[in-house]
Amino acid sequence: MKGSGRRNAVKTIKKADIILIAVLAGVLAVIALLLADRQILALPGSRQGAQVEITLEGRTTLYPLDRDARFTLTASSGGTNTVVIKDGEVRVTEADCPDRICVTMGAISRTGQTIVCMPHQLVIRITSDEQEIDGVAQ
Amino acid sequence: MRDKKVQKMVTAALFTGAAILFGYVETLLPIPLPVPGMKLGLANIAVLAVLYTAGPGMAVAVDLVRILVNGLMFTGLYGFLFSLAGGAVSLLVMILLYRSGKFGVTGVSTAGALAHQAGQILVAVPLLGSQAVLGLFPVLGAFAIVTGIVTGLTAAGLIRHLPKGEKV
Repeated sequence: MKGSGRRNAVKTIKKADIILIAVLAGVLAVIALLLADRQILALPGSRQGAQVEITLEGRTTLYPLDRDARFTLTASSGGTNTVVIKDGEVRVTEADCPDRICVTMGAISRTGQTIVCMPHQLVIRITSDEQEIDGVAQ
Repeated sequence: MRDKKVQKMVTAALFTGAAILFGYVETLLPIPLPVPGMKLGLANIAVLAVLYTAGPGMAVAVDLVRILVNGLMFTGLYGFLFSLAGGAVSLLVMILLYRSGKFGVTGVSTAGALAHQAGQILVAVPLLGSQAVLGLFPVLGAFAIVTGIVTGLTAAGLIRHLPKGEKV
C-alpha cells in the first residue's frame, strides 16, 4: 500500500520530544517561582497568610484571616458559596455550583493559596499583607 | 471524485463522534479532579489521530465541532469559552509542531496539552477578574504534561492501526 510507508514513519516518541518536554517542564517551574514570588501561588515552604482576598465577579474584598467569620456570597446568577474563616483557615463549606470543586479544594491558610469557583466567578486567595499585593497588582 | 468526498465526510463524522465520546467518558469519572480546569484530555487522542491521518484542516474542523457540541450538551457557556480558548491555542501549537516534522506524537501531544491549559487560564483572568487564577497554571500545567505524555503514547498506538486517509 502506498500510504503504509508514510504511516510507519509516524514516530511515537523521538529524542526531540524528550528535550521539548524537559524544556516545557523547566519553563513551568520558572513560572511557578515567579507566581509564588507575587503571592499568586503557594509553594511547599510558603508561610501562613494574614488576609483573605475574595474576588467575586471582579470585585475584591479583604478579610482578616485571624478573625473567625462565616458568610454566604451570592453571584449575579443567583449561585451561592458559603465561606468560613476559622482558626486561621478559609474554606468553602457549601456551594450550589454543578461541580463543587471549590468545596473539594478544602481549607487554605498559606500565602498564595487559592480556591476558585469558576461557575460563580469567585476567587479566594490568601495574602500576607495589604501593601505588597496592591503594589504588585496595580 | 465522489468517493473521496464521501470518505472525507465519513472520516470527519467518525472522528468528531469519537472526540465527543472521549470527552464525555471523562465527565463520568467518579472522583472529581481537585482543581478547576483539570482534565485528562482524552478527546485529544481523537484530535491527534485525525491530525496524523487526515491533516490539520480536518483536525481543526473536528475539534471545533467537538467543543461546540460539548458546550451545548455538557459544559455551558463558561465551559465553552474555556474549551474554545484552550482548543484554539492547543491546535495551533500541535499543528505547528506536527508540520515541523521534528517531533513524535508524544511531543506534539504534550505541548498541545500544556498549550490548552495556558489558553484556558489566559481567558480565566479577564472572566474572573482576578490574576489569582494564574496560580492554578503550574498545577494544571504539570498535570497536563503527564496526561499529554499518556494520551500521546495512546494516540500513537491508535494512529499506527488506522488507515492513512486522504489529506483535506
